[in-house]
Amino acid sequence: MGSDPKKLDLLLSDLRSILEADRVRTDYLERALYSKDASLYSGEDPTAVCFPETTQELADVVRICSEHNWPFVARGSGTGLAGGAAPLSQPSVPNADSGQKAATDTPIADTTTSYNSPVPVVITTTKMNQILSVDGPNRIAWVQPGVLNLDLTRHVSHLGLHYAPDPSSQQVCSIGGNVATNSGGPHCLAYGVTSAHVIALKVVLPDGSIATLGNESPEPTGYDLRGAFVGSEGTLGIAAEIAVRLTPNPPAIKTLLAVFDSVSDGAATVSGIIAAGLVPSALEMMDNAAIGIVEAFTQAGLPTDAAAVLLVELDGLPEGLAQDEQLIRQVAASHSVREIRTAADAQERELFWKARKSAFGAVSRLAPDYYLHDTVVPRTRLVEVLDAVYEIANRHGLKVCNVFHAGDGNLHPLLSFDSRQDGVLARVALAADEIVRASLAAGGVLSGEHGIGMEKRDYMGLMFTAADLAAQDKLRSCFDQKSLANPFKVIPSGSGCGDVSALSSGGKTTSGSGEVPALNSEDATPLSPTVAINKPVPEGAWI
Amino acid sequence: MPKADHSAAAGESPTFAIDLKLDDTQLASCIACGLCLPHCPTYRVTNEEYASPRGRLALMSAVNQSASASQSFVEHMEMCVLCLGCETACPAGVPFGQLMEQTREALVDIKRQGQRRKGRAGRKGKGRRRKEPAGRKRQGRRRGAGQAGRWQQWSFRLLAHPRLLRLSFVLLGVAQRLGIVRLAQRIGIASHVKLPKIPLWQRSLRRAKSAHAGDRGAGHGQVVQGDTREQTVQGQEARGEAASKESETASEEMALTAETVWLFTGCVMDAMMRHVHLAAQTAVEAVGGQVVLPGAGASCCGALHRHAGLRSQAEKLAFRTMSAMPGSAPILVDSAGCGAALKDYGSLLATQEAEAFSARVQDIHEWLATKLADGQAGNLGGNGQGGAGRAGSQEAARQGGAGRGKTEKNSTKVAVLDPCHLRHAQKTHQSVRQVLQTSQTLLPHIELVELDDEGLCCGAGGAYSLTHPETAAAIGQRKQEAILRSGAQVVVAANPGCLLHLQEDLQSHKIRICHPIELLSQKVAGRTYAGRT
Ligand SMILES: Cc1cc2nc3c(=O)[nH]c(=O)nc-3n(C[C@H](O)[C@H](O)[C@H](O)COP(=O)(O)OP(=O)(O)OC[C@H]3O[C@@H](n4cnc5c(N)ncnc54)[C@H](O)[C@@H]3O)c2cc1C
Ligand code: SF4
Ligand code: SF4
Repeated sequence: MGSDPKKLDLLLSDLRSILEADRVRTDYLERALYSKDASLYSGEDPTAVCFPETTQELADVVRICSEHNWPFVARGSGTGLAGGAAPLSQPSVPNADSGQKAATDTPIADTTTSYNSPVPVVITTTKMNQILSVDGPNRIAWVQPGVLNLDLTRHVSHLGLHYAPDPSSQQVCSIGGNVATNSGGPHCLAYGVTSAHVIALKVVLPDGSIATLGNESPEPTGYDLRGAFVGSEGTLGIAAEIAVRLTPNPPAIKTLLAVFDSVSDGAATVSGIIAAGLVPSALEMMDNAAIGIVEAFTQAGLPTDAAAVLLVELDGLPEGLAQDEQLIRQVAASHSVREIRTAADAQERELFWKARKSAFGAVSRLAPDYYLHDTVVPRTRLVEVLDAVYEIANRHGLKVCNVFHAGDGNLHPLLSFDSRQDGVLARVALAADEIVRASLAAGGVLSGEHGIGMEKRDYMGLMFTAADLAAQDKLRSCFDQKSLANPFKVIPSGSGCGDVSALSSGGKTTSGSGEVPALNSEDATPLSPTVAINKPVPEGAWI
Repeated sequence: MPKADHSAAAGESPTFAIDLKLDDTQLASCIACGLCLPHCPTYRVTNEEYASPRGRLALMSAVNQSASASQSFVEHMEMCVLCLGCETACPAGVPFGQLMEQTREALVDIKRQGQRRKGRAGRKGKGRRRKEPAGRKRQGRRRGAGQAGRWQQWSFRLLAHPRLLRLSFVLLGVAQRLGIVRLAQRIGIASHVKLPKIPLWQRSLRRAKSAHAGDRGAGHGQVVQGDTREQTVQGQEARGEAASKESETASEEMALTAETVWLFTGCVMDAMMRHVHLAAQTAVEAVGGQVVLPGAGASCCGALHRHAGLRSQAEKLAFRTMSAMPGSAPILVDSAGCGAALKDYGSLLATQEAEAFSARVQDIHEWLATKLADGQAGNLGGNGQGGAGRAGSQEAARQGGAGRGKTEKNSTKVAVLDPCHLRHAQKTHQSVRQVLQTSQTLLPHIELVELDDEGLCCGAGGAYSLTHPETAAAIGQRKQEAILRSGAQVVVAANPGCLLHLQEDLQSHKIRICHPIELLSQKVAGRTYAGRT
């Protein structure tokens, strides 16, 4: 199955008529690097990797794909945690370990199903990294999608402005990727997530045409298609130019670190602060395991014996800050806080944040692999869900640590493990599945900020009815009649539930000792799709 | 499956067998988070995954397991500058440098085998002229020689022979002046290699004829005070030979006064930038120290060899260097690259002796910073008129404290450029700032400014600017932009590679670049390196 070499040649030569050979990469090792993002989910090695630099080049590449009925996947910096940028030619890519299937309620589907679709081309925006214009007085910047989040903030800092959404990956993730996943970050508690900061978009639609969604006027008329595009994870087209709102730097900032001897005291303080009518600019929590890990990397002086620390940031006018701080101290005291530290200067503040933001990376000091979860629960039920998370991890013999956006109930349980141990992946998959279910049972939602991608696709049925999903699918096909843009993502293709079999072996490159070195040699063997596709394949969509 | 389908049509490069012998656990410690990407100079100029640390680790991992690689793998490994920016940025603590050095060793082995089995399949990549994979894009130029190519191995050998090295530099310098180099470049020989202007003669380090009364280690012709003498190529030879003979005996007696230190002189640094050594000597003497020069045995630290995967040569040089500087006196280094290499002998040779040696090694600023912190500011912290000791330093602290932070109207903005081997390898880059700040009485008119690129590499990278001139230039361009943004009139960098790499471009912007020690010692009255008293 797969593609006909002749058709492939035609596609490649057309692509190379737009971009010079250097920017259409087909070397097997190079392609393999674009088969996955920062998550454990591996896709397949893309057919080719294209590097457009301008909107026109991007549009031409997409048009050529469309003309050849070839699927394509947009990719930014590849820091996604849901497998969004991983190319798929079928619903999932099980690997050697996936013999044990996690969710037991779906029978393993017909393994002989052939999707007969080519592996997508990856279109990466990393070379589209220019800041096109900055309008200081109106606080608007137009950027190309490959601009890195923190680079934008640095670029406008001399104007006293910054770009507010600050995912922990902000030093490396792209604005395009942020738009596609509607990213959040610690400071989104007060400032709102990405969609609140995207004013307008110039996008390349899946047929290669260019459209502008939204505009700079404060009260746009008509349907908010911009809103539909933000968070669409590359399934509605590719963002080519993005107008973002810039936020003035606050006149003063205060960063507090509250130390607790029990997680529930910490969580109660979070609820208390919000109940008192305060909205700190950030409200982040780490549990004991997380504190230990980040302290080893950052040496920020965190108390490694504490059950939990709460990082609270206030910003605004200096007078107001003092009052707010007082209030927070009172609330914390009523929940038996052990101590509250204040960052003495910008340097210490940076260190606190470095500790918080490096947690996901530093966790590999605990065990070589991690699985990072992302669910949202009502703030009032934080403690209950956290307890469930500890219990689930314990039962499956997994280490877990929690670093999360406590202010908006966005949990990030991090399971750490060594994928080289037998059967561990199955346990991780089971635990992950149970955590999602526990969060949903507590009235939560599937994803806070990392998106659906491959990871949560087959859980969508737990949250949405068939009619909801059909409506979403309809929206998708309005943009993308041929289903070429990032296929098999976000919207489940069938009845599959909890299909976590695409967990590659710990996200690590594993490969047999075959003749042809492959980053994921499992890909080279026919796969046994676990979910049947029941979406009608449009006429001529696949080769 | 698609993979098999594509390979033929895509015209992939042939593969060859290779055993990288990398540690799986070390490789597995990369969790692919990507946080290192923006700190990688080659990723910054290419924005391509295989030119990033995460990509390189994934490639190593794939090749390590499949035991088979392709030419593209070789190119991506060679393109790494080994700046270690990724190690500093990595929260997971991936030992990138070690993995890359091991990979390069395996590649050198393969190349050697290929050279032996001439013309056989394993040799495919070797000697083929191939394109530098990135950098200034689309110029379509092709070049030969990658890591440890044959010419490179030869020139690396030269590094261990100070006389020959200096001679070649002098010849090159003459050719430069006669316009031969320009002519050669015009007809396409090494046309994209940027050559700094090579000095034809250099002043020698001040040599001791006699030492101070009462000083132990005196009379050994090495402990240096006061006397300057111009030196030709021959002069340097004399120094090398004399010193090497003397160093053994000298060292025993040099259970030295606390202030006596070795100054490691190295290869290219000594051949091209001896004025920096002179400045270092001046600075050491200004705080009451004495400089001892090692013999010819310490003529090259082996860093370039090690980075290129030539481990056995690196080991030989390490042994030579160690025996040239025996005893327990601190070993000061004014080249960040050499300093990092000397500090790493412990892990290179894995002997107790090597570890003890490495523990004695300090970057010159590191050493000076401790001296200054201890209140031994001497002429450095004082008013430059020879006032020494504690009084001087207290005054320095007072005045320095007052001067710091305030920007004088006519002050010169000095940007501190952190060499990667100081910032990411040795992690002692702050000491440069400490030294310059504490010496503010000497340098009242300077204002230190920071670059906003978080210590991103400048692209010099040892021999990198010669092996990958286009990428090195593209990386250098970014650094230059950061410097221009900072508004600096002077840039200081504690590594010869960075100085030579950026010199020409900065000159065109009327920005001066020098070693921080030069800035300091020029101001020490009576002891300027120009020898004027
Ligand atoms: C250490 C770490 C910490 C993180 N912390 C956070 C956090 O705090 N908050 C948070 O929200 N996320 C976080 N993430 C997840 C991730 O960084 C974000 O989802 C980020 O927005 C992804 O950006 P990217 O450029 O890497 O996109 P990629 O991973 O390359 O792509 C992500 C998705 O966007 C699509 N896409 C990319 N570019 C475009 C485009 N131009 N047009 C259309 N679609 C496109 C892709 O197809 C894919 O579906 C974290 C990740 C890591 C590794
Ligand atoms: S050592 Fe430097 S050039 Fe090499 S991968 Fe790391 S950051 Fe990039
Ligand atoms: S920062 Fe470290 S763990 Fe993350 S991708 Fe880079 S090398 Fe791997």
